[in-house]
Amino acid sequence: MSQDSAFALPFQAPAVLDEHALATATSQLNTELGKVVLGQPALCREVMIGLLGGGNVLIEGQPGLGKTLLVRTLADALAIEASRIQFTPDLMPADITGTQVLMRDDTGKSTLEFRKGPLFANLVLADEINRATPKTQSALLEAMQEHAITVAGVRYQLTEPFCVIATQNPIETEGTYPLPEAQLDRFLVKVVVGFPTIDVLRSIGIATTGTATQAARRVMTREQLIAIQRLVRQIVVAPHVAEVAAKITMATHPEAVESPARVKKLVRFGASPRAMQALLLAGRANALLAGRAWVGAEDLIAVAPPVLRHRMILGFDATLDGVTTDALVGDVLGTIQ
Amino acid sequence: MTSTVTAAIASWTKRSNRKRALETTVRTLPWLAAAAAVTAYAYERAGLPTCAAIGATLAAIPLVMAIRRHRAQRHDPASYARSLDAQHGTADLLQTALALEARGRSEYAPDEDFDRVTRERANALVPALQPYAVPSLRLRASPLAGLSAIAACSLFLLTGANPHDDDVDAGPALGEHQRAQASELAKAFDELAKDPDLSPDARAKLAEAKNALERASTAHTGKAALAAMSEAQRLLDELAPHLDQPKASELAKMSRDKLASELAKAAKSGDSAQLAALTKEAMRRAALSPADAQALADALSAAAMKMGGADPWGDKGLDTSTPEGKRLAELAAAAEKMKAGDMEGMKTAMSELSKMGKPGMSRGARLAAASRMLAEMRAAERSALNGTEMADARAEMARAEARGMKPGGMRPGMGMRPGMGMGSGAGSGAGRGMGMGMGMGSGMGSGHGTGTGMPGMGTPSGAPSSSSLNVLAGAEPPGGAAGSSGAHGGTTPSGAFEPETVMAEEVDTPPPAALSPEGVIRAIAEHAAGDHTSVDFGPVRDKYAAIAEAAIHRDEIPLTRRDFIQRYFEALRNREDP
Repeated sequence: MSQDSAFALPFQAPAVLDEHALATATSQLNTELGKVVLGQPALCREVMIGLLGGGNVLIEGQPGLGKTLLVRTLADALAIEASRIQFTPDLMPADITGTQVLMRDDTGKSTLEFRKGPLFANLVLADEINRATPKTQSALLEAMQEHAITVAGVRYQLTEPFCVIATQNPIETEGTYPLPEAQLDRFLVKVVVGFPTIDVLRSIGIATTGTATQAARRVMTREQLIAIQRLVRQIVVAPHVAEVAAKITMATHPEAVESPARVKKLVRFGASPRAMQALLLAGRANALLAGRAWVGAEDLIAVAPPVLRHRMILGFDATLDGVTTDALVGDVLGTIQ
Repeated sequence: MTSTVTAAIASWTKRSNRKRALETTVRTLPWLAAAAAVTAYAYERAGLPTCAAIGATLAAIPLVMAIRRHRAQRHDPASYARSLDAQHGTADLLQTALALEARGRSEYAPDEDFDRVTRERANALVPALQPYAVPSLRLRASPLAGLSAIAACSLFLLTGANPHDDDVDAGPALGEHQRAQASELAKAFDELAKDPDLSPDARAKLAEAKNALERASTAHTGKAALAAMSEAQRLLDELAPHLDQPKASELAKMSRDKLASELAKAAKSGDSAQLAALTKEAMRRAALSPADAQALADALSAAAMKMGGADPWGDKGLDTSTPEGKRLAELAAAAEKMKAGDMEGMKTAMSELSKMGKPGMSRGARLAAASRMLAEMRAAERSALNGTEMADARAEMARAEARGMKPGGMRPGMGMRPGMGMGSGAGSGAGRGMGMGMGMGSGMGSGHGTGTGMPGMGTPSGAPSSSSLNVLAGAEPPGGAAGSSGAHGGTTPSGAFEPETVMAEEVDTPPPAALSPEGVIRAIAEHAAGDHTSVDFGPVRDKYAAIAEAAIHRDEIPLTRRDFIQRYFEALRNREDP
């Protein structure tokens, strides 16, 4: 692996966990993202966790908070092939997966040729994903889970790394199609973009309305990203840490004995076993970003909100009471600590 | 990679647990001290069984709580590593390293390099860590425990404290006065042992009692002295039945020849108590019928002759040159008068005979007096151990006797008797007086006595209605007292304790054969009927002297009070027969 890249992460152990090198790489990535996406360090970190963990990321936030900008900046910084799909109600599955078109060669012979859709990229931005119909949304399932697309009986393997970063607007409900739970479960993390502070707003206003434009430098190659994703899966998870992950997952179920009272009352369905896998994977990524070769319970606690908030199905009472999944995740973590 | 992390954390865990154990123990000590104080208090107040129950309960509570607390705080290496990680912010490094070392080849990570890196980080971290993941030892006692301990100790010291002599070797436990009493008792035992009629077993018991008293005198602890005195008391109680005077019921069952033989034997030995009891029984039998009187007279005469070595068919008679001979001659004279039908003369002779006994008490009376004195010593020592004053001990003894209890055990038959007699009082010495009275069986009666240091007579009033006769014995205030009742507080030969009350006893008077009231009673009756005639003082005095003599020897009249009674009648005799 080359050592001369901007993201100088050595992959050969034990120097692989050299804190200085890793801190440098992390700092560089954060710097590039922060140059463009102002005032959202937590957002950047959670997106990085999803990316380094090899999962998909769902970003939810009001319009104008920089969701799309974040994804574009990330694609620029990673130097990987990126594509953007603007989801609309009339978007068809073939529009994103690709389709076979009739092609005539020089001899006049006609053949069906597969023309790749925007999913054939390393980083796919599914902008306003909840505006597409469930049929089109479901076309993403195979790609998100299996990193493959089947068109006309032919299965096409997507190029690694593959990551779908979807955005959705939580306040517009008319003309939208909420993502089904099965698809939500395919997202490793769900990142909620908060409203910036007044200082950040002032900086955003100044930085984006002038003549100068900020663009991220390319700090990581495709191969480096793949290697880091593989590295994440090698992080040590001790039994007691895995037990913490299992307990967290179990506590999200209303029928579990150890679940908190509000979970018992307000949650219809708890997190799936895939959620526990996501917890450990995101925890590993968090540990790696912290320069550690092992996962601690605090890693799981740190990543629990973005991992679990879209995997807990709330009942109608929660809506009436105005209780969010983040609050319930907090209750769950309270039973663990 | 050696298991440096595991070894280090295991070592720290042991040290931490030891530290926790010490801390828990120290925190438990105030509670245990409080429990010990309460237990000691219970021992002083409620005895050993209650003390054991309370002590076990009070000790178990803090011990169980301490054990539970220690178990809750006890660390194993994994929990200790977790505590260290939390304390030092190492993100579960030590606990993960422990798991990796425990598993050998890592099963938690697919790459050995990460396993190795993790363990190396942990090994590098260990020397920099503080060895104790637990807070430092704080020997704080909870306010409640401290207050409990102080309260319990104060309670013990203020109310239950009795500085036992066990801890201090400060010489004999008994005081000088008590040791003098013990010495006096030992001498009394020696005197009793000199009695030739005493059986070897009785002598052995007396010797053992004397040894016990000597042990009590030299004991260094109050408990030891009390135990020795209790041993002596037990021996005296065992000895008492062998030395008791024959009861009236036993005398009544005695055969005529046996009675005659015993009377002659008593006359020879000079045992005044035996003489008084046997002469009384002889007079009672002589009054039954002339035939009985005749037969008894023959038996008495023969027994007197036989005991005196006289030859009934020869010229050799009784040798009257010796006291024994004089008493036997008096017995023979009484028998002759009995045979002749001169009952008054027989009674006079019998009275003379009873008065011819050796001065002093019988051995049974002396033993009883010694037993009482020993009981008083025990009560005083027990009271001293319990922290009460001597006066309290004496009052407690008086109360015990008033309840019918004898110190050291129950003794029925003592106590109050309704109805006090009337009588005359006589005093002797400064502030001393005697009271003798007669009363109604139903307890009615009145009387008073006077005494100014000289023998005096009271003015009786009231009429008797039965043959019961109440004899008052005891020291009275100047002027004497009649009609009082109660229980005596006992006294000792050394006069350690003065009796506060007197005791009334009922003495059977001669049966209805002598229905005509005699002496004072008759005088009262005749005076009330306006038909009073004077009666010779001598026979009346003799009769009641015999009754009193029998009473003081038969029942537990205080030792020193017997002297007063005897001296009282001696004084009457001296006044009549200067």
